[in-house]
Amino acid sequence: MAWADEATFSAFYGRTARALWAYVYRATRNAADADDIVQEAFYRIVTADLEALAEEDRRRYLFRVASNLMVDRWRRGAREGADRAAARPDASSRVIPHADPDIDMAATFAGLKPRERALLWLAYVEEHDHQAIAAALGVGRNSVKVLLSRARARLRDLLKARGMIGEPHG
Amino acid sequence: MVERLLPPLSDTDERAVAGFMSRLASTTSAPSLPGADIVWLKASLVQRWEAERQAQRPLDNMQYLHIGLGLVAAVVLFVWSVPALLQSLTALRP
Repeated sequence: MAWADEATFSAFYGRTARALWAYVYRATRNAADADDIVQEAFYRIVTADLEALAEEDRRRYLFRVASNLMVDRWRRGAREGADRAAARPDASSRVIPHADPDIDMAATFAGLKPRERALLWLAYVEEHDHQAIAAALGVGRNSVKVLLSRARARLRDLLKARGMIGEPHG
Repeated sequence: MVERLLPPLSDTDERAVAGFMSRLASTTSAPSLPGADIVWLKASLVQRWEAERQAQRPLDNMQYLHIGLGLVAAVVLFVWSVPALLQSLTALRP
């Protein structure tokens, strides 16, 4: 094993697993896919040589591995021409929303493209910088600025359309 | 260049987007995930299987090499023995 011991890994897992699951679930909109991807990401992390990395870098590496796995699935899904989320209508039933506004938020966020969802989550929730996002999603650093800008604008439009923020001026 | 074409978000919109993301994150709770010990154990098994597979690979490759060498040897032996066979057949003719 590349990790010093199981206890070190357990502590890291405890600090990151739920955050990673939330990211993957919101990006893929599929709880089963999130379970698979999170487990696969941790299997890869366990065997990776990360001894020299600091905690934050390990965390970013973990999100990068999970993002790569997601991108692989999106590409496979695109090739198969199937929307996995639509194929499993009960997939989100395992995440119990607290109230109706939560359902509205999930539906609003679902209006974005998968990569936009991943971009926004990494930027706003995980607070990754452009370089880390670029590495995680396999796009150029300059492209991240443009893609993030578009994603934010699209989310703003969706929020306005749903009356969750004020109407556009003029 | 492309970025210049995009209208920038106003401070209000930016705050709304950030607030939305923050609320969304706070309302996303993971279901019961497998314990770290289980993930560790599975990863150990996967790593062991992979190590065994890699160790076994040269042996598998050697099997194919043995079969190939055997076939080549058979062909060489046959070619080498053809003149002797023909000679024997000729000698058998009345």
